[in-house]
Amino acid sequence: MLRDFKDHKAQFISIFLMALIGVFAFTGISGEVVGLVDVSSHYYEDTNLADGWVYGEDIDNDIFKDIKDMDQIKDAHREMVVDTIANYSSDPDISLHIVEGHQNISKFHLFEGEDFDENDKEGIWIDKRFADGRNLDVGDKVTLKFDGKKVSKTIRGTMYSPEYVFYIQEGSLLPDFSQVGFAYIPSKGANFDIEYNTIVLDAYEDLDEKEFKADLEETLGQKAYVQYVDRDNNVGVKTLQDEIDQHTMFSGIFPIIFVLVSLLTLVTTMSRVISAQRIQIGTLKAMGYSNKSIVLHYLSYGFVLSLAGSILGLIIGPLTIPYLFYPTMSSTYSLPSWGPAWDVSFFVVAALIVISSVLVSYISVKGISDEYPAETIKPKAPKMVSSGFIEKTKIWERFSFNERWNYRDAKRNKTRAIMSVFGVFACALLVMSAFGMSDSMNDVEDWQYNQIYNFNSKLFLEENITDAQLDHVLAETDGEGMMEEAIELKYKGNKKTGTLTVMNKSEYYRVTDADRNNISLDPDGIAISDKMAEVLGLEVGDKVRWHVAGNPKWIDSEISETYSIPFGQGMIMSPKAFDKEGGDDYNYSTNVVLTKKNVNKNYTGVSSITTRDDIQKGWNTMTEALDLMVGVLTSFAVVLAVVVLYNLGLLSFTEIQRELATLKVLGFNSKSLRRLLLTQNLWFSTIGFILAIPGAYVLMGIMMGSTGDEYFFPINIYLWNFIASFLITFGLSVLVNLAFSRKIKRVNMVESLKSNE
Amino acid sequence: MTAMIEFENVSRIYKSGEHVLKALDNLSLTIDKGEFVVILGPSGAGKSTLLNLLGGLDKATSGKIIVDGENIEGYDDDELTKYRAKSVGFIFQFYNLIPNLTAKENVELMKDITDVDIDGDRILESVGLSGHGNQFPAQLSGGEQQRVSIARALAKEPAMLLCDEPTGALDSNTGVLILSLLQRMCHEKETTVVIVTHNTNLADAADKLIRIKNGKIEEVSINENPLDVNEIEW
Repeated sequence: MLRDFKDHKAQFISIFLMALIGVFAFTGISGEVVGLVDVSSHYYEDTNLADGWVYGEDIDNDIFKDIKDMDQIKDAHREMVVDTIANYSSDPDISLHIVEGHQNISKFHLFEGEDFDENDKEGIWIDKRFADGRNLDVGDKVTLKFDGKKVSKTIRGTMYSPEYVFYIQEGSLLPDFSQVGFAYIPSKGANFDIEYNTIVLDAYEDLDEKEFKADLEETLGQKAYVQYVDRDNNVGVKTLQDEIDQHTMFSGIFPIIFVLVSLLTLVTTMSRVISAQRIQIGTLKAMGYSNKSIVLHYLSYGFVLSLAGSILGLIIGPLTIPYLFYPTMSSTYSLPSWGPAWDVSFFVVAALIVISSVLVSYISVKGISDEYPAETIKPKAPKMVSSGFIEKTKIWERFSFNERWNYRDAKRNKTRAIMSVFGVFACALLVMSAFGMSDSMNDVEDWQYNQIYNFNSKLFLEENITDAQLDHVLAETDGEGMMEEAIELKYKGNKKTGTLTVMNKSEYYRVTDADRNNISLDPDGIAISDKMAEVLGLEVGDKVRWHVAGNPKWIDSEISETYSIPFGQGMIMSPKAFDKEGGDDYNYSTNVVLTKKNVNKNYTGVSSITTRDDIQKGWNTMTEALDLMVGVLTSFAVVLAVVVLYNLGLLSFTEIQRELATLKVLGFNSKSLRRLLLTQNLWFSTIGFILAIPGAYVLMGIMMGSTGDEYFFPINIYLWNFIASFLITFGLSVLVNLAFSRKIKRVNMVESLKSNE
Repeated sequence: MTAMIEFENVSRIYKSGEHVLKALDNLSLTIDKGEFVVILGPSGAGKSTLLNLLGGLDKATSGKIIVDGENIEGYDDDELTKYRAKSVGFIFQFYNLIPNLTAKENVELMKDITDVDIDGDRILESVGLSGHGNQFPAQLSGGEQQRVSIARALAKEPAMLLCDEPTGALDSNTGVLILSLLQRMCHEKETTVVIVTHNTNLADAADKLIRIKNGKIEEVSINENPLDVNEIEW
């Protein structure tokens, strides 16, 4: 076996590599996602993250008892959650949770200090990232202010809470951990009247959400306005889940393609290597080796090589690739730990590769060893080729020897031809799709932040801003006022949350259609974003039910037109239409001001300011992980293509070595022989590349379809992408061909001519 | 008559580790233009090595091989390739046809490397294969394949035909046919033909007979009245 290994070094290495790359790519890319899912679900489980939250105003004992006594509820506790401002420079926002009783649900993950103690009147437990950002330690004093009240406590512990996997300050896309955080105190520590506004629920596992919501409404009756949010809709849980979904859309299809390509190449190579051993098998048999021992001998090749490759891939895949992503991820999300995980599917893929390899070895050897040794020691009779259709046409006469030879060679070795085309196809497909994703992201970024957002600063107004203050802000900033509200939309049982923008036609906030044309909306109409319409399943002319978060009054509005926006799906209407639709329950009031000016001065009545640059920076950081993914995928695609092309080139080279020697003897120079091999490579590359173009659209369609309801990502492949993919694909083809030029020079004319073997 | 081919003190030594094999040992000989030369010798005598050196497939360890006044031992790879393309026609024991090409295409293949205008059909006819032009090598018998191979070698009108055991894989009747074809081509076209064989019967047909043993010339004899291949008793 060792001697065989020497003779077929390249093929054996490539079988090993194929198994390695296939498993490595699959487990590496999937390992990141599986790891995220694994870590987060363990986190939620360990901390007993709430199954849902009931929000309301002043939840009294009766209401709390009614809910706690519901059949579906295992446990519950009340909290008062308030937005406070910590007593530090630039007024950081801290969400303060005042917890009633013992904290059994949504327990936090403690880093330093002691566990939550419901009887500790002087203690506070604070977000570790905020503590780190402000250099706070256990034992330090913290003062929080809200509504003229002051809470001064001593830090007893620093922690993460599963309710805060992702949290940001208002108006930004990315967290600045020195500016935002959360803290917990026991209710016994409150030196003010507590008005509970949150019930944290632990439900039985087989909770039927619809039934539960109905029961909840029944239980509460008209006692208070409440909103129920289930675990999946917690901002942190949902944002992380969306991120995971985004990664999944890459890691779902791509690794499978990698595995498929590796598998097919591996299988082809394996069967070719064994066919090349034909005479040796015959000789062994003639010498009296039993079929069984011969079959076992060759099976061990397939087994040992693919097993070694798979195991190595299984180990290093998840231990390398995921770690590329964690730095970016952890700057946005707060999980107690980051690490890859192994999924059953990894082992299935590895097993699949090993089994296929062994199976193919078995079939190939069996086919040969079942023959009589007398037949086997002779080389296999050459396959008959017949003249096909093309050869009979006039065009054939015009073909050069090179073209004729390649045409027939491809025809005679269909498997090899198809494999080569497939290899190039897969490479081009992966490169194109990876670039395409990147293109689409850039396109969408430009669309959202340069076309739709045409302001430089966005000012969030305080609720109690006076008209005079507003006029002053508008005049000073030369801005335009509008109203932005979170809304809930309902259509035929589908319920979604979205953004309502109430404004007149604005140059600072443009409205666009799906082709990115600026459009004007009918000031009397109600417009819905087309992605939202699609998600809800409604069309223009249908009536949608909606209400603004915090206001229980549902409104029915007929949709008159649609618009397109990459993120922030929802509705747009004019103040006039809003007042008309809302009747007595809703009145337009400006809460946001957009301006072209770069505002850095704080006006009275303005609660916070963000700039377009900040928002765009946030987006870029958010997409960093995806950019990384594009890089990883492209690298894998390139490696895969090189190995596939080299491998198939090598197979073809070994098989035609004798012909090459003959041609060399006849006086063909190395250059024309290289061209002979290159021609075929280029043909296959061309076919593969052309097939990949529609393939990329299909693949990206599938991926974009899984971006989640919040985003509208049209597929966009720029021309440079095609050119780059083309250059990469053909560059690799030529490069691989060059690798053979030395081999062609070294073809030993004398040896090759000696015998038929 | 001036010598067309001259070997001057040619040695070809193979070394593998400690082991040294002198395939050709200080060998000198001459071959004239248009001669029908038969090289005889037992296995391992150095016959094929001699042919390979003459054909530019291999390089001598020392000595000169002068063809048409030029020492081909001084050629680099490119010059050797050109030399093979222009001057040498090879006939192999196993024909070495390109399986992907038809008989006619195998012959016309040479268009790519020579300036000679090649009419595949006519050349195939001259070796007695008219009508087989569109068949692939695998569809032809051994003798037919060897004739295609001769046609291919002749197509570029080389100065010499080098044949390494051309009948080795053929039955004797077919062998005679091939040899007689080679002899005819030699005389008709004044092509120098060098045949390496261990079949001693062929000796009587040669213009010049060279016997080799252990890398050295054992005997060179000129045959004043060579027999026609067909007259030899096999």
